Amino acid sequence: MAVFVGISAHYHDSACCLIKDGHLVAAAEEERFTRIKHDNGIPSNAFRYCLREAGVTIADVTSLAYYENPAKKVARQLWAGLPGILNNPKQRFRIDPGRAQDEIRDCLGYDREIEFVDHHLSHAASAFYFSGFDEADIFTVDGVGEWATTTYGRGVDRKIDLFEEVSFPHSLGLFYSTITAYLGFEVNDAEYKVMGLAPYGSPRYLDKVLQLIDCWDGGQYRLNMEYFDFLGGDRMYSDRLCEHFGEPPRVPESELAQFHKDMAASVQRALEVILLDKVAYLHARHPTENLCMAGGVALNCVANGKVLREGPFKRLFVQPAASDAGGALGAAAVACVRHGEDRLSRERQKHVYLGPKFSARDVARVVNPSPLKQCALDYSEDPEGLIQATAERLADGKVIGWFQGRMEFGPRALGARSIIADPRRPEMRDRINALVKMREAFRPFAPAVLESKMAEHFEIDHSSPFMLETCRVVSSLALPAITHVDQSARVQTVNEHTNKRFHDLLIAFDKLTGCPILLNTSFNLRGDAIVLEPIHAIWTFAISNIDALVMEDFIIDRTERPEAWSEIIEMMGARLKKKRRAADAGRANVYSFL
Amino acid sequence: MGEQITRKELATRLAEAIKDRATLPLLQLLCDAQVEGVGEVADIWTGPFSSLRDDILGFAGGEGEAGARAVGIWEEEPTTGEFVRSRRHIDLWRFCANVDRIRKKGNRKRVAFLGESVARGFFFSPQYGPAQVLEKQLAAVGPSVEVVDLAQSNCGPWWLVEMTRAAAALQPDAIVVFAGNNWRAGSLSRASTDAFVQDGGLLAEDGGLSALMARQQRRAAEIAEHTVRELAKAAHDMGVPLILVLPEINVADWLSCPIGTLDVPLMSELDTVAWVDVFSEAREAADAGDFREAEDRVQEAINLDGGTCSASLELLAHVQLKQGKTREASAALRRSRDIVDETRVLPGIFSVVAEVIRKVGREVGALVVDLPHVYHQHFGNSVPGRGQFLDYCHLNAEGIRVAMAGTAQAVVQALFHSTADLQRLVEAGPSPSPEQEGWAHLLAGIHNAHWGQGTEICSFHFKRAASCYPPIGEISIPLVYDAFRHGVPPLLLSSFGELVKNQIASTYLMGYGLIGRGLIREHDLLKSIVAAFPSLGNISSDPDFVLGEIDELDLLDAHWLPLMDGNRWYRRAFKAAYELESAFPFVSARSQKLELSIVSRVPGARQSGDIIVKLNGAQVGRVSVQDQWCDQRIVLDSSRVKQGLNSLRLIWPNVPRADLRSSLKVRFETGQQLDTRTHFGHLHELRISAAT
Ligand SMILES: [Fe+2]
Repeated sequence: MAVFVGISAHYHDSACCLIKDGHLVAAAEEERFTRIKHDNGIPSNAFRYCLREAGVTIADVTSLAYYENPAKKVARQLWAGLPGILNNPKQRFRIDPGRAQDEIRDCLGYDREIEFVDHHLSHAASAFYFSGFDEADIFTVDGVGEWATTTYGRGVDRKIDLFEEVSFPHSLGLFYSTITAYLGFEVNDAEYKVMGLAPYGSPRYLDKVLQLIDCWDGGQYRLNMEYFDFLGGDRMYSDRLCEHFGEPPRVPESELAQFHKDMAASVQRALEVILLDKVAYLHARHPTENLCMAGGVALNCVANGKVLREGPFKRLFVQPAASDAGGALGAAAVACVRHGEDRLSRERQKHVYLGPKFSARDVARVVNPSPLKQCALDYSEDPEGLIQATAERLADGKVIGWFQGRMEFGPRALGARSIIADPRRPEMRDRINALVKMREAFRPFAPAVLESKMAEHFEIDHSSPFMLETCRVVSSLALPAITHVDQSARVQTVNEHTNKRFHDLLIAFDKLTGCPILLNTSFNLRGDAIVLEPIHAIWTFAISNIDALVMEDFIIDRTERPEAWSEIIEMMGARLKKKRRAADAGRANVYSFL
Repeated sequence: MGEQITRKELATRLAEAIKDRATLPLLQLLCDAQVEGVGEVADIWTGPFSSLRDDILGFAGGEGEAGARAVGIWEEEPTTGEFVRSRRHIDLWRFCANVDRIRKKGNRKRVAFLGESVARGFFFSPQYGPAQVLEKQLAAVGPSVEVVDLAQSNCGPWWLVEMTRAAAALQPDAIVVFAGNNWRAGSLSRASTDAFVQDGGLLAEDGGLSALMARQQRRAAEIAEHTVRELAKAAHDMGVPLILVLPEINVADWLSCPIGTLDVPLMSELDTVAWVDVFSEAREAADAGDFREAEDRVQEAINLDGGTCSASLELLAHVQLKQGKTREASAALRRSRDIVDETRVLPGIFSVVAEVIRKVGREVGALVVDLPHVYHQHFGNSVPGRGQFLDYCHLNAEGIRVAMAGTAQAVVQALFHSTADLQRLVEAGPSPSPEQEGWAHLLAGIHNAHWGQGTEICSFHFKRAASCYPPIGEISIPLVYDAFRHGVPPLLLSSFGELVKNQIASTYLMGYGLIGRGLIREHDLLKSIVAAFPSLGNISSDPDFVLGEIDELDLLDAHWLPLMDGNRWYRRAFKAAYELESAFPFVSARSQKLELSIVSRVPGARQSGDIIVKLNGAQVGRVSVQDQWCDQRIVLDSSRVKQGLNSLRLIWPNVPRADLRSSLKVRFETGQQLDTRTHFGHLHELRISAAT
């Protein structure tokens, strides 16, 4: 038995995965267990889960791989972090080449050799080894890991060669984050909001935005550092940048003016222009039909769509967990290869259902002693009835918490821990925002569509199981809740092989309504991690206003809420507001360079 | 661009210079000038308190109506000048007095009453508490005085001073501050460079931990002095007298360490082996009734651990009490409560903090109500315990009445320059209703169990609850039993909704109960309830935990974790055994053959040894263990497995183990979470299933 564990931690979302005898059998983000959003602590819960899911113990682990090289990272941390440390001595502890190893020993208990895999190699491997391609070009783009921020590479069989890199502080991720901060959104979290805002504006500042970057021939580019401030520690842009655009930075939560929308459109367009240019360079270096992408910037599904449509490659695989959580996958795969494990599966990753699942019994043990039992229907003897009853509720305009099977790995809910609704209803976007999401109304939700009928409704000719690219909506149905202002949508295609129950539901909903599409968003409240287990689902259901919870074989309809819960909701709301304020007061909106 | 390259080059050189663990702390030097002042170091935002950090700091933003003044959760209403409880602070309502508005000052003199949970009347709040008692006592001996209750649970020294300053808006004639239990030093790593380097050095030395604790005590004393002076300044600015009520703690009936665990400091290889030997001998002698021998042995253990281990101090106190040495026992217990352990922050005033309040309080002209002294006078020579306390520091009704009688004396002196008789004041203090008192004991039982106290004291509270108010025994205790026996947090259960219909229960369970993080050990809670009410034992344990109903039980699984609290001090993927014997209860549907799978190690073990596995008191197997993980299985014969509750015990071998203190020093210097206690073993897996 060969067991390889991959760990990412100490930066953004931490995660753990496990490859057993060449197959990826489990992966999960730590935040789901601890309920601390973006938890970056060492993933001890996720590690325990992975061992258990694989049916192995720590004594069976062949090798444990860490997704970056802490020793290499220290110099870059000093480059960017030293001024911050002088102002905030507690931060000095974040610079420590030995910390990853110590905590892997102390918290996970792992006592053998640790395999350190460079950050961008982890990203590259997380795309290439799971792409199903025998050979491909590889393009990784993120904020920063050690020094590299962008790499160009090539994968053939089991060998990955990263032949060129762009080095910090020059970074497309940081460039995009800087504008995100300038537009008053939260860095490292809300870049996708800028992407969502872009279609409301026109790229009238494209030239000005491109002046921030010297995009050279070949693979290199340079940020014009007079516009950026990665050292001050309290913001990412310089005064020069504000002068350059002639507007002060937007105050968070304030009204969005046309300028902000045009800026969003311009930075998005700039990113696409540069990515297309660099992808063309990569292709010119090593012409091939296949491209693999990973790194946080690869979550920009609008840009991905452009890269595929307008770029030189025929096929694109983006690692669905493209950001640092997915680095764990790549690290484990690299460890596999370094140990000469020739069983490493080269199949394309078909799904992201790599997290914990819960039996009907697990659900019953939560539902039965709770006040919700009286409005719970048990369909364990009638799975078709469950699908039918759910479809009827959706057709009635109900918003449903959908909890089925193994949890997704990666940032997107893809029909295992989702909130779903009828996408045809014009009021649905506002309603879901009011019920659970409380997010900016300008962003539409994403659709899940039956793969067999995708072409009737969307301009797409290949399956898109991970919601990683956008395409035009061409449906004859009006789909206001999922259609963006530019007639685009971020599509997830569903077939019966990867998510049977979700597929069956789409079929039933289609039969009932003639619409094979559902609105699909993640099952969590604003500011919370996506639900993992039945307890979290019940609680989220209880304190939100979702109409029904469909959890494994149970349907629980909303009834009057116990008094105590109503009060707790108000208390939690008050606490959350204060936490936000304390966080805003105490923390600058910058990319954490440490 | 040239500048960027130079910068990279220099950063790389610096990185090279600090890549060694010994040189990494050089970064410390660079930040030396930035260490916080003493007031800011006062840090209670650790452990059980951290969840409220943002709620309290949220005040500092001053988000109230423009220009409006606020005293804690009460904000000034411009039209009336009254202070109205703000719904924006509903998350803190249960931590404060249940008062909608604080009216304008009338003809009566007014006392602002501030403090922590003890002053709040924790477990009785909001229906009964020190402020109410004080007001009635004062009315009985002189002109009526208004006591404005501003006490707040989980209040730390920084916030206490803020509240005191804000209280000026209420125009008090005197300030009473009943606090000190939450005054403690922040984490070690925040100290200045000198202190930091010395602290780190101490961790690796023999006796170092003891010296380090003394340093932390001194830091707590500095914070206390700073706080007292700030309080005095606030009162001086208002031109009113300050009365400091110096808290007492539960000495006799509180275990510093959760039952069944030990807090043995890391020591040298030989000392650890020796400590385990003498401690075990002491315990055997105590069990055999040979208390003199036990005292000698445990004294040897204390010589080895330097008085940094509550387990040895409490065993010493136990055998001293058995020999009638009350005063020595009391001293040993107080030493135990003075141990600083960053991983188990527990409210309770340190002796050094008490000394500072006495000394500096008088220096700044405050009247000091010395509760240890008042209790000693009133209750005689007995060691303070369950006669006055409901847990580590919170008072029962008798404790409150006597404490407030002492306080009333001081208030009378300060406001009217007269005196009042203590006994008369005690008698004038109202008692809670039997129902209120019953609820306080019921909640105290839960609280004690959650902090790992023994069955005896927990059952004591449950029995008292029912004897105070029989319906509690008939209705509420079964509800508590039901609320805590399932695999889901009580909050999600119907029985929880029933319980919190009572206002006192709601204050505890929906206030502290939602954010608290004591040691949640529901099995001990259920055991204590059943010990007090055997008939409840008939209600089966949750079938979801019964082997036979389910195929397999993960004995390392926490019963449940609070929904809103994912933080833990240590994020371990395994169990660290701080005890010499680890106990795991489990329930079996029937007498059946079971298989136990164990993945274990003894960290730093120099040689292999055997874990002795006992089931229901009888040895059923041995498992070889060494310093690396080992995966093993043993079969538990059906004749050994009972229907119902079973007790599995693992006894760790006392093998020589490497001295881990030097690694402790390194980790301290890199700012990592410190665990200064000996792990007698590690379990990565402990799973029990039906044998095939
Ligand atoms: Fe990355």
